[in-house]
Amino acid sequence: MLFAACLSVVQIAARKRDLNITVAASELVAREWHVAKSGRDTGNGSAKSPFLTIGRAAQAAAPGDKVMIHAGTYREQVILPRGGTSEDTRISFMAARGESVSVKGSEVINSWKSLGNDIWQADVPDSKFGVFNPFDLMVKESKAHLGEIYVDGIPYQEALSEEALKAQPGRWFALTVNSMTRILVNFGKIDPAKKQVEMNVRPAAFIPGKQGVNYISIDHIDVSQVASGYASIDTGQPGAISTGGGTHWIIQNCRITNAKCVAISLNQPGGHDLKRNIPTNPAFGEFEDISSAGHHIVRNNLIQRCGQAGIFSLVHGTVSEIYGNQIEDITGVEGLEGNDVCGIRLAVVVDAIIRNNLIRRVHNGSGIFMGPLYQGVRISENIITGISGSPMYFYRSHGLALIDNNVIEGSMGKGVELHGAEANVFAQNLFANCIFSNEPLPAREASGTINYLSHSLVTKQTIPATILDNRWFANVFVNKGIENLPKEHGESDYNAFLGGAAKSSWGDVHSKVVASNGGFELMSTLGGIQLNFDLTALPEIAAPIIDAEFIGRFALSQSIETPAGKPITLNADFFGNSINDRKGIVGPFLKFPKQDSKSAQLFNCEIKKEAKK
Amino acid sequence: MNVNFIKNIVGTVLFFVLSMPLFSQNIKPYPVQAYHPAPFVHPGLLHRAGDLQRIKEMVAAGQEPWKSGFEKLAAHPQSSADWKAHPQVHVERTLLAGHSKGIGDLEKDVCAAYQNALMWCITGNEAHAVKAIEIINAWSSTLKVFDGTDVELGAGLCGFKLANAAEIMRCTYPAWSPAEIKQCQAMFMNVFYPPIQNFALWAHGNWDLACMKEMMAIGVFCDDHALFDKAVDFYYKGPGNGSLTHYIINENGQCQESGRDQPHSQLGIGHLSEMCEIGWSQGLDMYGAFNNRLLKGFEYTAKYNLGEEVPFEPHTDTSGRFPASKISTSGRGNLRSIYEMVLNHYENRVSLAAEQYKYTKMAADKLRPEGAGFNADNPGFGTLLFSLPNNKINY
Repeated sequence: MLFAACLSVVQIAARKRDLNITVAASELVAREWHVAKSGRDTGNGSAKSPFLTIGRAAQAAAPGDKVMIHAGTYREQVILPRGGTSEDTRISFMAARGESVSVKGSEVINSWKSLGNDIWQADVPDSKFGVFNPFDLMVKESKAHLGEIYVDGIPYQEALSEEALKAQPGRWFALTVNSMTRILVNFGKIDPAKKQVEMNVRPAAFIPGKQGVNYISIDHIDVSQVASGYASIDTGQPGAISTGGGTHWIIQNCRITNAKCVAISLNQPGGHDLKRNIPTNPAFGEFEDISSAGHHIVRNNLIQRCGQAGIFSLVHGTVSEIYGNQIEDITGVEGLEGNDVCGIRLAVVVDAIIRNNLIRRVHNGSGIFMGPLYQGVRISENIITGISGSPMYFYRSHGLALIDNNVIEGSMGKGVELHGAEANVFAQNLFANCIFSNEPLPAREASGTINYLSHSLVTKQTIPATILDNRWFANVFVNKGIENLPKEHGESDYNAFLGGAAKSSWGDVHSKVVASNGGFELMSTLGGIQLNFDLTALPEIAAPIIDAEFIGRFALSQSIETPAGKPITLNADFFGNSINDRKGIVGPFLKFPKQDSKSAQLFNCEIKKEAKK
Repeated sequence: MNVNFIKNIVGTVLFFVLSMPLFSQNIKPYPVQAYHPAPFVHPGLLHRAGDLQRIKEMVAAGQEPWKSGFEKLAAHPQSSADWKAHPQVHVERTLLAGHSKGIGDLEKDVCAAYQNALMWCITGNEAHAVKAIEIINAWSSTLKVFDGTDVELGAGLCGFKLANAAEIMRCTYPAWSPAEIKQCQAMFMNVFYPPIQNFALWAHGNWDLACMKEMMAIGVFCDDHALFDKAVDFYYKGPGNGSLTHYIINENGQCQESGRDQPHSQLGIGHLSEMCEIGWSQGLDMYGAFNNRLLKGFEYTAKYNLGEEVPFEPHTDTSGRFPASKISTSGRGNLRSIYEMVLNHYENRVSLAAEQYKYTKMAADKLRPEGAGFNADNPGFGTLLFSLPNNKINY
């Protein structure tokens, strides 16, 4: 009898399973889910009965579905339980057409109590935070907490002591006591009751609930005030938007502001034991399967006022395209300095393309930071300016990277820094006020530096990375040249050196030097980037077309080629003018869009804003 | 040998070497000179028909040193007609811990194929011919993938030895069918050649050299002159550590790997000499290049490994990765089976003054009769294979 009953339970379960399969098959047609501030999570997610939270829609969405988010501010951490299974079955999260959607990692505080002398106090119970309290966590070894206070969207500065708090308005100080966090703010003459005061409480805005959530799109969404933690290739790389080891995401047309550390992280969950670095067991040799890495598109995003990096990647920048992004005011969390802070960082990356991005105003950091390990990478048509550190920093790699048609402006004596990095090809760029340095790595660090098989993450070699054999062709150098590089650092030729920039002592047979700097000026404004430069100041140089045949192969057999293995020919300038009409002109500009003009708009922020609508 | 032809080569070589930048290891697809426009001689790798005939006759006559040289070969396990091949679909030669696949099987089997081919030619025992063909066919019908961090070494060394075996068998054993020969050629071109096609510019010179000698050998066996010329061109002016003057870096005979260890130095000069021997088979005098530079490398290396001191010039190789400030004592004194071939060329073929090959001769004398090469590194058995009668007859 008991046996019979069991059978019937199994049969019922099987019938239910069949039923579910039938239902799933009938629902293969993509659904559109709606989220609105007027909705309820108990609704059915339709346009007429929208959900209240994006997270609820994420729970409901199946491969191929779209989640349309209607206007409003959503204070939540959207956990993505699943993604799509192919390009055709992405799960997309997007603002409804013409509507403005904001996802915030913060909560409003309105329980202010004046303590006098412009100091106000608010006690926030631990329940507001859950397990994550950014006011109780430090950013790496810095003196700063992950927490942040925003007044009408503008972050106040953390005071390191109550005395420092009293000394200057616009500062906050926090301490955790007895199951609550006490926030003290020096508002100056401002009445907080008349302002929107917010505190960050969540570590991410969009994050997968598990590893391997693939084919997600996030489109036209503002993300702000996220307490994203310090990103490191050793310990983890959180971000306001984090792909969490997933592949094939598209993050586009978003505006990401005030992330405490990183805005967009194409991350590899988990830490990494850097002690494991010997030739027979090298660091970063464990990935191997390139199909399970990256393949992301990050485009046309506006990333502003982040503490560590605009875009940060370990492994998953692989086969990814990062283009049309405007990354600016990377402030550098106090105490975080040097290469931790940057506009874009890609570590352990194969076949990535970084194109047509504007990176400006990075404080205490670099513009683009590649490495350790980058291979088959192209960095093209970017504008980098106003960087207090190196506009480009290349670290520990056998290359190959093709850096072409960029406009790179150094400042404060800083320039392009190569550190144990070989096989980088710099072609048709304009470098202004930009020195070059090329330093070897300590032997222990250099050893076991992987070179992958082309277009893969399969280890081919584990040999020391050298400082040798980088190549400079058909570039324009303004004010500063490559005279700093010692002898025998590779090949350099067909370059133009202007305004005091000097040639290498070991190459540059066909390069030319002219005294004029062509009136070079890179104007960085709210509207974008304008270049003032007299192209007629360029000396005539009969440079060849820069192609794979001209460049040749490097020691590890690399050549300039696309991720598909097709040889690359630099057949166009920054504006797409055909190089066949070069007529002796080198650098990224054969001519400006306006005939005979001495200036050109290189990046138009206004157009970007239009595009965002 | 056409003297003008050699002069032209040397002149061209000097021009390129002198105009080459030091640290840019750029391989550009420049047109390679036709070093060997005429049809290849077959068999024309380490052993021409006359060589095989000489070895056979001397052994049959019980002449020394061939007699004791042959005893070494015959006693070696991989010379046995009972050898059992272990062909693999995928061979991986790698530095990475725990990743190696099938390379030991391949190394042993190529030695067995080569040694059985020699045994067949020397003894006339068809069982050896059948075994050599069986081993070659087993691999050519099975092997599909060759990779790993050290694939250039694996493919270079094993491909070279296997091509030598195949070259002998094609010319001496008509029962090896055209279809099977074609299958063997296809294996060389599709599996062995791709990993070595760009040499190994980042590595110590013995890596380039493994690629170079294999490329030359495949070139002859497959009658592919472009491959042959590419390898010979690299010998004269390649941008890696394996070209003659990048490997034997000065007139003292110091080698690129002298500061690394002595076994690798001997491996490297052994590779160079094997290229020279193939060149000689095909009518090129690569032994004489740069005023017998090869011999200087042998003399320097033999002298040091025989216990005498040699000058050492601090040196950074062409890749910039392996600076050396002093000669390495590692492995000093362990002579490898590489000396007879070179000694016999300079002593008996071109009759240089004895003091010019003094230490090479001392090393050969000390080792005689030479045994097997280390793994698949060098052919070994030089006493048997390369001894020439001391009657100045130009073989």
